[in-house]
Amino acid sequence: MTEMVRRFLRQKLTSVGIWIALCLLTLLAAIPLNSNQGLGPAATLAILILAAGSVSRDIGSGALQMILSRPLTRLEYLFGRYVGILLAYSIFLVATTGVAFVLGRLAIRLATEYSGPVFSLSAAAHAVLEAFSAGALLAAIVLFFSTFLRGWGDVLALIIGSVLLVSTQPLGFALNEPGIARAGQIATQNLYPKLPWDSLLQGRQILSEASGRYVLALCVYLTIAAVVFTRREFSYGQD
Amino acid sequence: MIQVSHVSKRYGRFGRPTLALDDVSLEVQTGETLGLIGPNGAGKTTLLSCLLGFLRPDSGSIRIAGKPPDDLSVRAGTGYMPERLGFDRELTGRAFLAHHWRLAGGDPRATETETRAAAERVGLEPSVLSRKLRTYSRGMLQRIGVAQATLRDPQWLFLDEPASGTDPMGVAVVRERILEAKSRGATIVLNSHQLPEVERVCDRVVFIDRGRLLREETLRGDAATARRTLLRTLAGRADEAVPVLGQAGIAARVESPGTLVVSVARDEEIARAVACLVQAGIPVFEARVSADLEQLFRKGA
Repeated sequence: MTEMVRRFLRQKLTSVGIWIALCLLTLLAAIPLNSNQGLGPAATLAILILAAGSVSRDIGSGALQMILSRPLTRLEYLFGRYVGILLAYSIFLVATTGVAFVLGRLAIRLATEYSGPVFSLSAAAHAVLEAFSAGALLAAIVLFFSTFLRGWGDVLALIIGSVLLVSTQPLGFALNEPGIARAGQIATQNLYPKLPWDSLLQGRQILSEASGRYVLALCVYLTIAAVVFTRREFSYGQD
Repeated sequence: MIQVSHVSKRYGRFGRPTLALDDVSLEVQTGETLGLIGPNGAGKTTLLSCLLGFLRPDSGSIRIAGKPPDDLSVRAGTGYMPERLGFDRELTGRAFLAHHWRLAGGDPRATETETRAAAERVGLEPSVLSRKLRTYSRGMLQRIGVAQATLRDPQWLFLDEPASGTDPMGVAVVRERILEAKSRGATIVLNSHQLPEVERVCDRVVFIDRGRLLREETLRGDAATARRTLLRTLAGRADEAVPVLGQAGIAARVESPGTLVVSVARDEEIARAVACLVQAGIPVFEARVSADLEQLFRKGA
């Protein structure tokens, strides 16, 4: 699995385009983080860039067949990719925190009478943990789609799914159909649950319903990704 | 030993399914080199994909040394080169070989020496290894593909068009690697359209068409099926040679001016034919044994 993690990092981090995009997103995420406003959508974009095509591109290029001819289980390959995504995302989050800290220091040093928000390490840690847990879930969903969709279809499927999920509740209200609105709310809670970090960091709600939903959703996405991937056949033609 | 028993494989469950393999059964003995021959779309790559565990047969079974093809102990002794080379093009040749060396379970401390040696065996200079794979020519990619397939001296070698797109030197390098693997007792399954190369390295060939195994021919050993021998003599004396060989009980015909075709299977008979002609004062410049796979291919198709 270590070799698969190494391969993932090498694949993603040797691309100049991905480097430029991640540097830009680091800067964009560092600005709200510096003002203690979380990481914003830049962090979501970063995880999507890192997770996009993580399996499907190897299937498409035929590289997967060469890898799977080696003494390596499909699960080792799949979870190697997942760990690689999380590792790369962790590096991104640490770098963003570092940049936010530097920005905060610069602001204080350059402005004679600085009255803006002061960078708070605890607020940043809270935001980073929140972004990481949300990213881990998004990566699991993209990984699942990547096991059977081609190219960037995994991210596209996630976007379409998210739009449908987000729009169901307001649609229900707009149509005056409380059933649809309730279904949308339940679907969002269960398909894309969030960890209650406020309580968790205070040592409360560790075994809460919200935490359970999150862990269950993560396990379900990873399990179905594993089931689909281990049962899939790989061929590059019908000759 | 590789055992394929009544394997069938169908593509496309809905609409119009294609039967890629239809009740294929064959055995490849340990140390044997088997050639898969057939037209495009015959099912050769599907069979290789099943042998490697990428595809699961709809019916029938495949056993390699008594185990399923995706068993990790089988994979540890497997070398594979696909027809379509799926490389990480941003990797250098060295990093690519090192990656496969480690994946194959090679000692990480020996990575540098082993990858350099593997590259040298296929005629790739150390300076070439520093370049990214996207800068490699088709022939160079084929060579590095063969180098990765033969890393750690695999017990089972599956090659899908290994010399496709290579220059004559590349073809020779691939042949040498196959012969080297063969000499150390590896079991090889080779899918290639290059019939002269198949003939040079394979012990046996099977003909596949429309997913069915039509026939097989043994090319080496006592069980070898009729081969033809080409004897080259002076252009004006080939006609004269036919009755001479006929008197010795060897059937021959003139194929082209100066070239005789003699249908004999055993090496002793070929030597006797040459001796007869020389005794009759007819010079022999060349005696070339050929299974004439092209002829067999046409017959098979």
